[in-house]
Amino acid sequence: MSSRFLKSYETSFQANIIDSLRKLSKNEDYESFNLIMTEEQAGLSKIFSESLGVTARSYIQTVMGAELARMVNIKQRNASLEEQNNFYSEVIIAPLKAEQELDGLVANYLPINLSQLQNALLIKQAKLKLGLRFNNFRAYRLANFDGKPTIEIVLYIDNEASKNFRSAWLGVKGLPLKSLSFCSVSSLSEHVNQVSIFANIFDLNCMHVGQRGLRYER
Amino acid sequence: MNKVSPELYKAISSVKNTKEINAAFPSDELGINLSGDSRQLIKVLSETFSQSEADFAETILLHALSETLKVMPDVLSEKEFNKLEERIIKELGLAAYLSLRPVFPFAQGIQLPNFAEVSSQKGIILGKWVTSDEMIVINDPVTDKSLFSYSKGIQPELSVDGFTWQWVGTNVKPVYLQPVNSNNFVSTIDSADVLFIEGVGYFYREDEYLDDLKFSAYSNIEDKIIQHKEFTDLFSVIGNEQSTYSIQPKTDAFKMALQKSCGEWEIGKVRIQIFSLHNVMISPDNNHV
Repeated sequence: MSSRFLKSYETSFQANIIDSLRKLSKNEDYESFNLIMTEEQAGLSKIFSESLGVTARSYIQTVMGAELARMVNIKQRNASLEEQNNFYSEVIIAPLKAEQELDGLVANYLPINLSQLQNALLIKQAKLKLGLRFNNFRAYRLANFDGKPTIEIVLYIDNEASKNFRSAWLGVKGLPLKSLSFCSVSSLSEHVNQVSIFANIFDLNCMHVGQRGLRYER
Repeated sequence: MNKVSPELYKAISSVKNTKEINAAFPSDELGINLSGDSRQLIKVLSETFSQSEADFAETILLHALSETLKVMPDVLSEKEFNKLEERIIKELGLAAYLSLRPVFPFAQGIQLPNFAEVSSQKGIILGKWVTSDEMIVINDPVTDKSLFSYSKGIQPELSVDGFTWQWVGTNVKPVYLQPVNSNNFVSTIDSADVLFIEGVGYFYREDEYLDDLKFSAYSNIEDKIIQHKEFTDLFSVIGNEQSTYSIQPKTDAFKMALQKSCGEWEIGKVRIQIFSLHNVMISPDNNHV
């Protein structure tokens, strides 16, 4: 990994971008840009533009301008965690296969929107960590034992460690936040009971779900 | 699925019909004119994300393309939209269309898969997807014997993954298999999701996340050839009649592979077809678009 990339982990995205944007002149001149695309993207652009009755050039200029404007808007207004997360997910794209892997998660983990998260500690942690290193958040709810508050889970990609979903934060009302790492999504499915037991133990902070079972740390 | 952003929605809806004509397009490079601000933004954002400007621009384009498809039903008439879909599938192939991840309404969607993965107590079974007026039938891909049949009258339930149906006590995943088009065996098998070995049957990529080229047998394979020396010289075979077979090509297989046609290879006496697998997202609800 380039040192530049590592360095950019350290500086906050917000400061970086907003500052750079301020420096931009309100320059309405047009500049040319050479867009390189795959055969499939070129084909789609052609078909879409012809359906709209414009040239591919006008179509692409319009949609790319709109996409860039949207990215700036997200950073400038007070965007929600969900909007910011979507923004990162578009630029730092999770491999399709990593996404498909999540589809295999057993139904005990109920997928929810980030905006549906209730646990204040978990939301705070997710907001704080979202950036170039931690991104592509996915929120889940896991039923807890009788009468106990629901377990909320945010899975994330740690780009420094892996391009796949291998880590999560767990929040249960009244308990400190916990970290969870796992060797594969299928092991997370397999050990769903142990995950909820772990979530309820007050003084355990970290758990790893490995191929040969579990490891806890205080 | 995310809602389309207002910025993009407005932009696409407002693109005027200018009756211009595409001159000599598509090609893999297009010179476009961006406003000074947009041009600067590409520079700043790509630097922030440590990507090249070209890669970053491609990322934005890719996102804009799949978002465009979601806006189109509001911009075009139903007839025009159907024509658009047909044209993409006809000119670029169904796999290209599926990569935009549209969700199809039931009646239209069930025409699209060519195979289905069915998990039942017997394990994961691969079958050919055949539709008639009343039924959807899953046939054994080798013998053509009917394995499962479902009445269209009984609505399946969609599971949380968005791909798999819970249907009459089974899990059914409609898929589209497309031959991998590459004239290099290494890259072909690297992007393979499913293999068909003549005389044996179909295999699926075991763990797509490791770089392992390990393929597991679907539970409906014929295992006559798999123990023959001709086969084991080319593939390491793990497993036995009581458990699932996994196979992995050996170095010799790479040396000997000869291309016969698109996605079809001959390795010694073994003939093998190589496919990529695309999930087809079909809503059980007919009114869903």
